[in-house]
Amino acid sequence: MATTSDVRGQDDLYQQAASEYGAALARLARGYEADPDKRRDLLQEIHLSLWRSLEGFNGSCSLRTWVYRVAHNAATSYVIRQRRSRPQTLLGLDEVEALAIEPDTDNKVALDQLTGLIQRLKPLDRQVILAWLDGMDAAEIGELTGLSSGNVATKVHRIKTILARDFQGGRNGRS
Amino acid sequence: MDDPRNLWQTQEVEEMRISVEELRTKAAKFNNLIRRRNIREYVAALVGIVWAGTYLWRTHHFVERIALVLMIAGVIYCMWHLKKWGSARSFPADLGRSDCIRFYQSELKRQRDLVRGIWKWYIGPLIPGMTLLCVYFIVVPPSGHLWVSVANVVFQATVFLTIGWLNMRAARRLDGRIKELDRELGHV
Repeated sequence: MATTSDVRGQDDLYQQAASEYGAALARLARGYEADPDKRRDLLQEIHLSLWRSLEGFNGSCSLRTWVYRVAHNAATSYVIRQRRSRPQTLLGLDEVEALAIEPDTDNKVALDQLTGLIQRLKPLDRQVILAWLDGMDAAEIGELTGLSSGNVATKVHRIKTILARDFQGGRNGRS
Repeated sequence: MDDPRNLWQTQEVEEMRISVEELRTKAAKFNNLIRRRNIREYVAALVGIVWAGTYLWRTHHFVERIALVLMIAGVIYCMWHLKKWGSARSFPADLGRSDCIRFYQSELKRQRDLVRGIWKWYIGPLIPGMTLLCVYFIVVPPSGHLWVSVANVVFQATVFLTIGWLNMRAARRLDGRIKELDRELGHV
């Protein structure tokens, strides 16, 4: 049974996590759900999962890694549930490489395109791209996802290629 | 356009401000929801058992009685299995401890095992009672018309086979996704 100090520790940790990573969690939710109302529900579910999970936080990894793991795992469960009611084909990075996205100089349009692309990715590729976009390095992405450093490096290289091609206007001869 | 990382990190987002007290209330609501969902499952099974029990009480035919007892036992087994493996799930304890790939895999495996075992825990336990009842109704048609009993058997067999086939197809798809994750982990 949780003692009063455990509960206070859990509450304090949650408040620290929410204040430090609140914006990152909101961005992450955006990568998983396009509909604004459903996104709010997802974000609420992530916060609830985070608070509940922090009861078992034992410092085996950094608070940042813990927060991202909980958020991605809760969002992945959400995607699995949603796919039962809204079947949708999700793509791997290799399939995304074959897609044609018209680069746009307008940041808002480009951000919408980028978000749309993320939302179409398979969970693991989505986790890697979201973590990379949020500034994580290869070692942190490996710790978050469980992928080997070599596998992370390959995926990050692919992500950079896709983003450079489709979002920084480096693509020529588009059909 | 800006660098994608910068664009992503500087986007305007609506942060969620939620107090610990609100979270406690939501957690309690979530637990109630799970409890209510489990109660609904039991009530549905209970209705089936009461219906079969009433029929059992009224009928004087030995074969019908055996069939109904077998069906009640089948429903009880299904409920026990659902309670143990697949009923409305409470909060997963490994959300923060498991890395994403292993958490995703465990979620997929849990689903796959549930749908793959449908012959064992859902269709299978109901088959002995249903088959006995169907055979009995063909030998002694309750409506007096053999074709009504045969049509009933064909309909029920089609429903069971379709449920079984759909679940096996879902299990194969889930298996494919689990193997894909195994490849990512370098296990294959």
